[in-house]
Amino acid sequence: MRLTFFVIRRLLQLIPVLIGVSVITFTTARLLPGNAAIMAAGPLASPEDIERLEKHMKLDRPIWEQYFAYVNDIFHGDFGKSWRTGRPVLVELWEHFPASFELVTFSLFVAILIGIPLGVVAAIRQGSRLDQLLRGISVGGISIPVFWSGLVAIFVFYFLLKIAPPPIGRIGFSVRPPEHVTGFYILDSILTLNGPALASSLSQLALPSLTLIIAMTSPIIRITRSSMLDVLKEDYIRSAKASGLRRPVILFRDALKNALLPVITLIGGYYGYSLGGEVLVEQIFSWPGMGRYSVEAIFNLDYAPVQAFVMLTAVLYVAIYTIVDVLYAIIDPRIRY
Amino acid sequence: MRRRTENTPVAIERLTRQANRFAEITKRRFGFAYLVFRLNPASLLGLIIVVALFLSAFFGPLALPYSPDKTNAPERFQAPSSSHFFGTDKYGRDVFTRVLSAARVDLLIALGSIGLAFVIGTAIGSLAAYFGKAVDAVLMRIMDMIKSFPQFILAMALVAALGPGVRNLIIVITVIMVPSFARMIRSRVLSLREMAYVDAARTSGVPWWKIITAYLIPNSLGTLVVTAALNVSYAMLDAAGLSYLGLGVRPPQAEWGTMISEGTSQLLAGRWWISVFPGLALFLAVLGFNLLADGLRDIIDPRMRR
Repeated sequence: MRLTFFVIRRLLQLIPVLIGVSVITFTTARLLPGNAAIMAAGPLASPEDIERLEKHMKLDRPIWEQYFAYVNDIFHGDFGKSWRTGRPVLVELWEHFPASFELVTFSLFVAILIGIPLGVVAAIRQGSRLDQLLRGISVGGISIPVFWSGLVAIFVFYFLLKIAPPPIGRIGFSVRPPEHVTGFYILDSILTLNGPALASSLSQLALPSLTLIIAMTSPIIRITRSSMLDVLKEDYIRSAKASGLRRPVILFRDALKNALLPVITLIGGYYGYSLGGEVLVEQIFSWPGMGRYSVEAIFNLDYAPVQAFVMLTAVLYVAIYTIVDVLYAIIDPRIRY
Repeated sequence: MRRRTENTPVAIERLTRQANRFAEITKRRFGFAYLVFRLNPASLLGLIIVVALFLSAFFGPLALPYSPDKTNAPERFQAPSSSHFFGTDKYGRDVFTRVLSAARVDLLIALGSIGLAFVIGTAIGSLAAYFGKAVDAVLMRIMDMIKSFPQFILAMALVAALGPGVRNLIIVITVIMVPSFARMIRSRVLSLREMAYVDAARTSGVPWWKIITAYLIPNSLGTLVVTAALNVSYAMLDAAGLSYLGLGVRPPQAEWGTMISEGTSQLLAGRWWISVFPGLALFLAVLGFNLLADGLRDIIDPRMRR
């Protein structure tokens, strides 16, 4: 019962946040340079056309009226059209979503597999050489600019060693993408038993995900280590030790399980952030994800995609945070904010 | 506000002494020598990197024979050598000189925006915590709104809206950094507000703005300094990242992110030095600030450690 109340209250708290998000997105888009109507009308439009379009886009109305029209459109699933392609922005973003999702999910998954065990080891052997080494590595990892480590990776593995494919996106030049089932190339290649496409898309994924894994593992090591250290200090660990339980049992059953909560929060936030946010990595590797799509839109003064992208990444971010909070409350009954 | 009955002269005197002792402890904790003395080896390395960064940013460009912006076509694309430590780029500009001159711009953006965010965030957070209720609700909701965007994406959209350039970059990074400071000082002030010496000041008629500036903020400085140190590195990465995308500092101005982006097209021609060295400089600078911030946090506020 209290859990239900908690979930309801947490959902209600989203309302002001989402209103805030829409206000900020709307205002930012209004500040963008250039006149949206002139852009949308194209170079051959007459002044009358532009005026008509301004009316149609409600650009002649007061600003608050424009805001309400904008929110109303969003509720009807209408995020506007890209003037470059004339297609609905939502559709285009949706087409670029699998690329971002594939890259980020795969990288984060590997980063978790590496980061959590290393964090646990660092905590168990606190102060040892290994701990210091891991500490050094993780400070280094959070300090590396991804748009630089990505370039270095391309230079070393593609240009010098020639073991990686060129950074041209999700699939090689001469390989046909797998038949469209879900939009995720790896999954689709497996489903359609397309060997060459699978090999090509996996090898294209290698360098961008390596770049992301380096950046993502460090914070996971850090938080696992410190959370594990906190838990190891607790009384119940001491009494478990005193009662003669075997060390692995204590570490993995009693300690790690409790230490994972902050780790999950961090990973959840990270995931929400990264799904839309790996603009820089996508840019370097010509990865056709949502981030790269939006950067192109910015340079083409294409309002609608930018607006929708910023809005949707914020919603995604907030949604994942909320889900993590609720999961947290389910796992740990002490938490009721 | 909760009021206490302890406003007799004796009690006030006792509480003033308590406040003074608090201030004394804070001051002692901030003696520069004291901090350096207690830094761990890794953070000392961080401090050295940061100091070296400042020195080379200020004096480096003066000591070098080349100008960061002057083109020299016959000497283009030279590999690193004893006359050009980091080689030359496609206009024949000396990459070493440009890396040092870029340090100035990147430091200016990172420190400028963190400084501004420090001041604005402190004002917002302490007002929200001190007055509570509606003031708190309104100010902190605004902070939450900014926080509900992925930082880099909000920065990208804002800088696209305002246009490129150093000034706009500082404004945008300030905006995305303010909530961290506001939240940090708010939680600090919320606990300090209940301290006896703050009550004493209030009951003896010290005006609110003086309580905030003379009692609450000085006693939160530790937390704030650590927050600032941690965020300088993020500010640097964001500034360089935006410039890399072409949304920040505009060429021909030397800036690490811009330089990396200029070198990208030369990379697959084997001319790695044009983008590798500016990236290395950025990495070292961020690493230095991160190591230093870690050490400061361990000394000043071990509870903040995550």
